[in-house]
Amino acid sequence: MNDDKNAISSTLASKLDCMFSTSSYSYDYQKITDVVRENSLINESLHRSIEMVNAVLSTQLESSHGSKVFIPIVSALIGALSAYLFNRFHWTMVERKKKESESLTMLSTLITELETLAVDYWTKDYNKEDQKNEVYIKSRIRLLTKYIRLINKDKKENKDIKNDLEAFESDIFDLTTGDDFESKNRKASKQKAMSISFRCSDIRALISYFC
Amino acid sequence: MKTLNIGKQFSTDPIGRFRTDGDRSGETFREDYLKPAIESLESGEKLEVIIDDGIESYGSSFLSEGFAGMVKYGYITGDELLSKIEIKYSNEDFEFFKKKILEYIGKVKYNSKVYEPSKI
Repeated sequence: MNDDKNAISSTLASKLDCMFSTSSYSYDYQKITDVVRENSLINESLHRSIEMVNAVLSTQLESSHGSKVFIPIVSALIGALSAYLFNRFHWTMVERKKKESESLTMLSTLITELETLAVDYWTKDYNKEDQKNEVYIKSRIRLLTKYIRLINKDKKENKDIKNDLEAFESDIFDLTTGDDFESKNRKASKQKAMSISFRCSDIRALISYFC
Repeated sequence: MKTLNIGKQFSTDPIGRFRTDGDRSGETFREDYLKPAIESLESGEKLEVIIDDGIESYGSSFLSEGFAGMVKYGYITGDELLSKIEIKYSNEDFEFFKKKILEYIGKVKYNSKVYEPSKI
C-alpha cells in the first residue's frame, strides 16, 4: 500500500518536475516528492473523512426523502394561511371602522333631532301642546344614552371620544330636562336654548372628526 | 331589605319637579314615597329602589327633586342616603339614570334650603 503511495508520489513529483522545469521558478525535486507523499497520507485521512461524511449525508437524505417532498407544500400552505389571516384581519378592521362610522353618524343625527326639539321647547313659555315635545325629548335622551353606551362599549381603544360622549350625555340631560322641564311654570330661556345648541354643535363637530 | 318600585308603587310616568306640576312629580315622590320609606328602615336596613319597572325615561327635574331633595331639605345627609339606598335596574339603559341619581345626591349641599310645599 505504502509502495503504491510512494509510486504515486514519485509519479506526481516527476510530473510536477516536468511542469516546473520549463518555468523560471526554482524547485527541489526531493522536496516536492516528500510534500506529495506527505499530502497523500493526509489526503487519505481526508478522503476517509469525506467518505464518512458522504455516507452520513446519504443516510440522512434517504431517511428525510419523504419530508423533503413536503417542504415546499408546507411552505406554500403556511404562506396561504398567512395571506388568509392577514386578509381576514384587514377586512375585519375595515368592517369595524365602517360600523363605527355608521354608529357615529346615527348618533350625530339623533343629536341634531334632540337639538331641534330642545331649542324649540326652551325658546317658548309653557304650553299644553309641549307635552308631545317632552315625550320626544325624553325618548331622544334615552336613545342617546343607549347609543353612547353601545358605542363606548366597542370603542375601547379611543378614550378621548368616549369621555367626551359621556360628558356630553350628562350635560345635555341636565340642560334639556333640568330646571322647570315638565313644569307648568316654565319660562322660555334663550340662554338655555343657546347652551343646548352650542353643546350639540360642539359634539357633532367632534363626532364628524372620528367618522 | 325593603323595596320601593317606582313604576309599580309610584307611577310609570314620573314627570316634573313640584306638586304643582302634577301628582307624579319629584316632590310628590320624595315626600310621599321615598322619605317615609327611608324613615321606616331599621338600623342597618337598606332600601332597594327599582327604577326601570314599566318606566320609559326620566327627566333631570324629577330625579334631582325626588332624590337629591332629601339632602337639600336636610332630611338626611348625602353619605347617609347613599348608604341606605340601593338603586336597581335590569335594563342597561337605566344605568345612566342611576349614575345621575348618585351624582345629584353626591353634589347637593346638605340642608341648603328650607322645604316649602309647592302645593298644600
